[in-house]
Amino acid sequence: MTTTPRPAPQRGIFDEPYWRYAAAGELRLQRCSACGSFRYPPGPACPDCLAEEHEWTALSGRGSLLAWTVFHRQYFPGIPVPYAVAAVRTAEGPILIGNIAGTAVGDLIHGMPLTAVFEDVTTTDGPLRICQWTRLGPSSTLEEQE
Amino acid sequence: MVDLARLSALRDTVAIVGVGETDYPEDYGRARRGERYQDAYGYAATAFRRALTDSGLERRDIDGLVAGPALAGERLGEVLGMDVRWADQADAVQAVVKAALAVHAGVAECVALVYGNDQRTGGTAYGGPGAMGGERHLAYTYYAPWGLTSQGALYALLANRYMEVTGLTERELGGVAVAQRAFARLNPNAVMRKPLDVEDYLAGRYICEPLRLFDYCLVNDGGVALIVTTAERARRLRRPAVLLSGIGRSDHNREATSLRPRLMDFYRPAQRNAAEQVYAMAGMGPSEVDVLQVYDSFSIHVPLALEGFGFCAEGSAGKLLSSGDLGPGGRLPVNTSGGHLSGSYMQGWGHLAECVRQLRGEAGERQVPGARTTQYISDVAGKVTSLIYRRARA
Repeated sequence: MTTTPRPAPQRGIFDEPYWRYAAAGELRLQRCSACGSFRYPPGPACPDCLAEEHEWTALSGRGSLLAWTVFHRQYFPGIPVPYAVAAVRTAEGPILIGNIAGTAVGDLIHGMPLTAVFEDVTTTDGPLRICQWTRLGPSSTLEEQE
Repeated sequence: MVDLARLSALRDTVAIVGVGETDYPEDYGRARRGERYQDAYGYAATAFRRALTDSGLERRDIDGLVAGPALAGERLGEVLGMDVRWADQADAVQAVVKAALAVHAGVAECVALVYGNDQRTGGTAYGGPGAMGGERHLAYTYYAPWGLTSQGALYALLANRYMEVTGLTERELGGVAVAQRAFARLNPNAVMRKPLDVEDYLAGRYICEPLRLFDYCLVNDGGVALIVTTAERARRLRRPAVLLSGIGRSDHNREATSLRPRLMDFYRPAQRNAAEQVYAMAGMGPSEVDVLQVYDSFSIHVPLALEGFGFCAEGSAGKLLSSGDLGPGGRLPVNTSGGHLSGSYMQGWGHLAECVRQLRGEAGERQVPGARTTQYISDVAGKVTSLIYRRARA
């Protein structure tokens, strides 16, 4: 477990459930009850059908690596460089941002299968559980990464 | 739907008759030495004074005012002593669009577009938890817990994906910085004038990989102003009139924060829409553009614009970037003042001024011979706008 203080998330009123589920180790996204479209970041209306009603749907936790960048400039005192940030295309469609645990930057490959893992971090606002990603393989578990 | 008949009624009816810029190398030198000799309004006032003199108009002739993003309209009017009958606030490219619409509609006859920014001495942060622009672009700050902020990092993600899809190499991308530096060397008002070849580029440090130091804009203090009026009035003024021939705009906001339009589409649908409109209104195509200006916070904007507006086929920009065609003497000169990368980061306002200077034939050593048509393409996070200008017939 890392104790590196990271920047706290921006938490608008629609973001609260996401972080509450994350704290419980669940990856859930807001989904339109009328037409089934995901909304991410969460918001007040469905961009497809404008309905307000929604539920918080659990994702499979499966995804693939869409793109990444390696930070060489230090923007945050709490996150030492270099570090990679990835855009992950989830199996359900929405694109999520995270760091890749347990894979060296040089070994990242576009399209590589990933699975969601939760990491407990310290932020400037206190402890937070955030969704990260790790290479999907038969022996890959969160415990192994740590 | 675009009403081409109405759009065409605007074509060539509005002119740019004055341009003014501050002395970017001096602004940069002073900022580097930690001297704060101007604030944003000071730079704005210098640029405005110069644009007014350039136009031959008097301050009392100006009845419209558009303030750039770092300025408050009220304070700008106060500083410049101007009580106008029409005013607005806009970024560079929208300032021209708004002024043109206002002049065309008759709510103002002579509009000053004024930009000033003390972003360097003022310590504007483009990355970090309070990254500039986060209030308008949620993605600039939303992912801070994972260490992702800054416009540069988002364009680095795009570049990573774009290179995978198109095969663009880092060496080819370096062609953008190299070509623009070659132009900057011919422009006494560009900040970075030391020679830069592709080996120097590749030796530059990464900021957010795959983007390097020379892929990033040069944050600087400074100011730019333009004066816009009717084509009729422009004919009575002393400078060669530059006419606005085309306007194209298209936004790609769906799923903007989740980065889908950026990473999956490279903003192409918005670019295509804007291209279709700007060329239809101007009655021409990309092959007739003599000088191209591209909003270049980051070098990767250039291949996106070249492909999105049909200067080359999708996915084929790499060869064009490394061919030398974009630089001095090339077949498609791009960012002839040095742009944001080597000239000065004036948030697109300097590109507007350069369009005018090239068409007037007053760009000195960097002048593109016989330039009759210039195009500006601005795509900031999927908000795509393009303008086409022509030199008025004498």
